Amino acid sequence: MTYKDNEHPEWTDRLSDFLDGGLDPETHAAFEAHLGECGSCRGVLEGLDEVRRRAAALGPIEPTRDLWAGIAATIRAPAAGAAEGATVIALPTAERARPDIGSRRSHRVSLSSMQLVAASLVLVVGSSLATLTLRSQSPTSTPPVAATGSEGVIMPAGTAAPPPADLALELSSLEQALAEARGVLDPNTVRILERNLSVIEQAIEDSHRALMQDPENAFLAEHLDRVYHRKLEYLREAARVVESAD
Amino acid sequence: MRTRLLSIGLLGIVTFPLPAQTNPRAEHAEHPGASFTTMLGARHMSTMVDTLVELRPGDRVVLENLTGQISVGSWDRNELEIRGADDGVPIMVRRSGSTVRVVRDDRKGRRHALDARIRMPASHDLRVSGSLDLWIEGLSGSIDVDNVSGDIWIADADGQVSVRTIEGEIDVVRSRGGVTASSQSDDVRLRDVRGPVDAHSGSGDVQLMEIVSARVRAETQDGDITFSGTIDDGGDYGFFVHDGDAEVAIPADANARVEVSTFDGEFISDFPVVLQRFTGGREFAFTVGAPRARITIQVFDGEIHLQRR
Repeated sequence: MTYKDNEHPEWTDRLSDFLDGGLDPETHAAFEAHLGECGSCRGVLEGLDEVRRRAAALGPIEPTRDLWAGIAATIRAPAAGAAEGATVIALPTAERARPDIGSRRSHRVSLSSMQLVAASLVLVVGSSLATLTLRSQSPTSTPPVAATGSEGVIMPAGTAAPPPADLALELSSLEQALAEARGVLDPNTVRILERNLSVIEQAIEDSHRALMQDPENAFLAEHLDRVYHRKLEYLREAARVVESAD
Repeated sequence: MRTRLLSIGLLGIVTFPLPAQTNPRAEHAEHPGASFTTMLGARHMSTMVDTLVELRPGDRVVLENLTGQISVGSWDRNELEIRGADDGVPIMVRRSGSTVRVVRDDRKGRRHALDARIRMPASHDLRVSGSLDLWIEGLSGSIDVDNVSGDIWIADADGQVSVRTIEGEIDVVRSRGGVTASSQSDDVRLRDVRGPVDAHSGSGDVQLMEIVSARVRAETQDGDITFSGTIDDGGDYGFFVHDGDAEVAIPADANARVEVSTFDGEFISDFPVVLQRFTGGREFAFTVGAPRARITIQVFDGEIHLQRR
């Protein structure tokens, strides 16, 4: 998003006060007269009004804990060194940021034309993070996957996520080979293999559950795919161990 | 091929120092063997072995399916020297073309431990497989290790290093030819490494310190990633964590586009952040300096800290 119209900063700097009724009557009247003549300032005003309306419609959405402090700081004071016209969101720097919900609710935003742009972005960010927060509230951790002691199986229990089609066949084949090789492997080796495999299965299960919550999340899809490939590499490595034990 | 054995005799108890970081071992003598196929040791317990095998330029040394504790160092002679104590299972040294293979000769398939020190010309390639604690130092050829269980320590390697272990820690220091390292269940630590880096741990930490590389990839399913190194123009740096933290320390004057993704994590930056992409969820991108390199940090559940070095 960009905002280039800054032809009359003497007026656009007062947009918030104008909308909030904070201008003295004489200045308010002069501003109205200017708006009647200046289309660009009217556009800025309409943009700000849209932001306000959308913000009101959001309701009490809480930002996520790690980004909000920086965003709020940006609203209070533009980020140092920000290029003119850039959309700048300063994330927390050295210190871990925590939500400042109270101050956000009571924060009275006085926007310059540049800050208006930032506010628009904040709105988008706020919406997205609010969604994220809801998603993240669902537990992703699951009870530890216990390595089974069942005969002939080197697989942790409880695997629910199906593998990608292009990996399924090889994964199945390797798992079967490992299961059949259980009897020839040293018990300690079996223990190690099962334990490591359970870690991967846990990661798969976590990722799968997260993806179920957020099916459109490209990161989660990529993450799950990566973990599956890691499982495949691990099973190949385990198969080499089996071969060397033969 | 000329194969010769040094015969020191039963009175020839030899003590040799190992690197300070290695496991202390001492008191080794030798055992005579055959010529083309050299048999080390005999069928009784704790046999002392000591042998020399001539190597030709371009020979590759393969230590195959060994267990125990082995240190490998370099010297300025065109010979492969093996000194140590085995447990009575003969060791065979075989040549096949340009490959000189050191194997155990246990026809019953049992695993037996070998404590040995090996010296070889620095420039020859080395491959090791088995289940052992391994120390390798001062080689300039490639090093390829495929281990089941045991710690691996590699230092001063000028060639490409590739090391995998199912269980055991991996340490690589002062490597100049790039490193690929994977431990399924323990920590992987790389320090003072140049060249491409690909480090993985299944359930341990990945520590990459003093890295000078244009390509770095680090991944752990259950552990933390720590990186400190340079960011080259045109470089590609990826850090992937499932359950753990990622601490990435880059120079203050680094130039890179940083892409961050997390599902349930936090992001902390020592650098000012100008968002360039925010796709929803918890993915965003920004640029530190100019976008000349790419840094990707993905943490499913954990904290991301982008630090100034």
